[in-house]
Amino acid sequence: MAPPELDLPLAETPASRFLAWLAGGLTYLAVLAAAAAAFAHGTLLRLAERPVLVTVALPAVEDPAEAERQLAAVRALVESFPGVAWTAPVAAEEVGRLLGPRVDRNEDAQPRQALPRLLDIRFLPGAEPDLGELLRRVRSLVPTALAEETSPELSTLEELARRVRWLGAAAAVGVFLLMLVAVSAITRTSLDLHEETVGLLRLLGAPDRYVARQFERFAAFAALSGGSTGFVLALSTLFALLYLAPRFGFHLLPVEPRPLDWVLIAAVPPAAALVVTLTARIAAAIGLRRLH
Amino acid sequence: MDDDRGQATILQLLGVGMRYGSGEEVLRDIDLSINAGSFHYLVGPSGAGKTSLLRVLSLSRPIARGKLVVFGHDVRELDRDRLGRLRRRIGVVFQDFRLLDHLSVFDNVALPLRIGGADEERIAAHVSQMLAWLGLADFMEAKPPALSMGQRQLVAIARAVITRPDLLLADEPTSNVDPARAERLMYLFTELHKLGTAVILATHSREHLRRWPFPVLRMEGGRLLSPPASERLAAE
Repeated sequence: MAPPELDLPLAETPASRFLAWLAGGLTYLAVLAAAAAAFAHGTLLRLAERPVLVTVALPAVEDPAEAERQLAAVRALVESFPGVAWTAPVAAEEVGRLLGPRVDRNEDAQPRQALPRLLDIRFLPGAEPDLGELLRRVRSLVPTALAEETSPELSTLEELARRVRWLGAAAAVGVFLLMLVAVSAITRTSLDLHEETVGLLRLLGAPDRYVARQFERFAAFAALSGGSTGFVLALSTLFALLYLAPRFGFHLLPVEPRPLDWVLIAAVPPAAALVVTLTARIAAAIGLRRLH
Repeated sequence: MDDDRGQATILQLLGVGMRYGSGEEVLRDIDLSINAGSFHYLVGPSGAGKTSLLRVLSLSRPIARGKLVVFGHDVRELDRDRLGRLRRRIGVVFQDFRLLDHLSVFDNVALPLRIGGADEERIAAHVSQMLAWLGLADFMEAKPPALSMGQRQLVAIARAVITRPDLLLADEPTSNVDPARAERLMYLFTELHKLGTAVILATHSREHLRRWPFPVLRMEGGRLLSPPASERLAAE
């Protein structure tokens, strides 16, 4: 990409030349930050749709009829609880398998004593059940009953995803703010360096908007050229993290990017270019007012 | 504001003083009227204030006191945009040329047209024609550092006249060119003058004053010594 031909020799100024590198580096960081936020958001959405599973454990009862009656009563009570999709008693064999060597068995490998009963409860997607209330109600029937969410690792993942989403969004905003400050500083430095040429342009009748447009055009070029490079490098980094790392046994990110995530990521370089271009123009316009 | 020939006054200075920074005034009590289409020499010893006066007239330096009216506008009452519009009507040949070294000869000359918003087709036609006339057709793509001093001066002059300004201010415009080119330039200035451009030409050349007799503005010690209409070389 050839730089635009400008009346001001901005491409020859070290401060201005740095602009393309800066735009590239910051676009790279902004893309990664936006990707982290987008992927984390997608993960949170998936987690929100994943049903909550809770298992209620009822203590062993020697009388099978009584055990059956108690389980049916608890099941009926649980099914009336808000958000419950369905319930399913866990088969005795499965309970026995879960308890393993702690179960005293006869020659036929049958348990010698009654086993606790387990009731799996599945909540509707998006439901946020009050497990304390559920347990309180169950204990009104069976005082020693227990209840726990059977996928506790999900809440850890959810918390992690929330943090990554917050950090990613904050980092993206931070990078854009840094871009704003750095481009303003570079533009003002360039303006000071080219004060004499700016004076000549004014003497030839150039209005301030003509001069400011020179900075704007250069900044747009720097943002697009540097930003393209930063974008390609950021995509390569994401590709490596998402698709190559797992092949070598590194499962860094449990994410499944959505098409919308890629749209958001693709929007970062144009947004960065827009910020750089507008900032350069506004900083130049303000700086020109300062110059005599 | 008309003079005795009924022409419009395009420049009027009343009690103008000018200083650089907080130093002493380098121009003092300048009273001057310049009419549209007139031609004046500006003469005086080095340090007399010729360049400073041209800077004031080209609106590149603010006045410290007095009143400066350009094309009917008191410049102190103008904002930067309107000042820019007035500047586009003034062509300036600087003593140090002030060319942009990173631009080609063509682009240097095209600069005032681009600033004025001319389309590229018109720019290409005008600039090529001007450079050919000045004998610089082979140097259109060259950068100023590759040119001789004389060639640079020609480029600076081409840039100043390319828009056919209403007022041309030239500071020693023929000092670095050979006699043949100097004559060609004087021809260009007088032709512009005939077409209606007012010209103020600072010079040390007695030869010019003799061959192309026009009113003379004489400066000394930052003051204008005599009114233009009363002073011609012939009268001297």
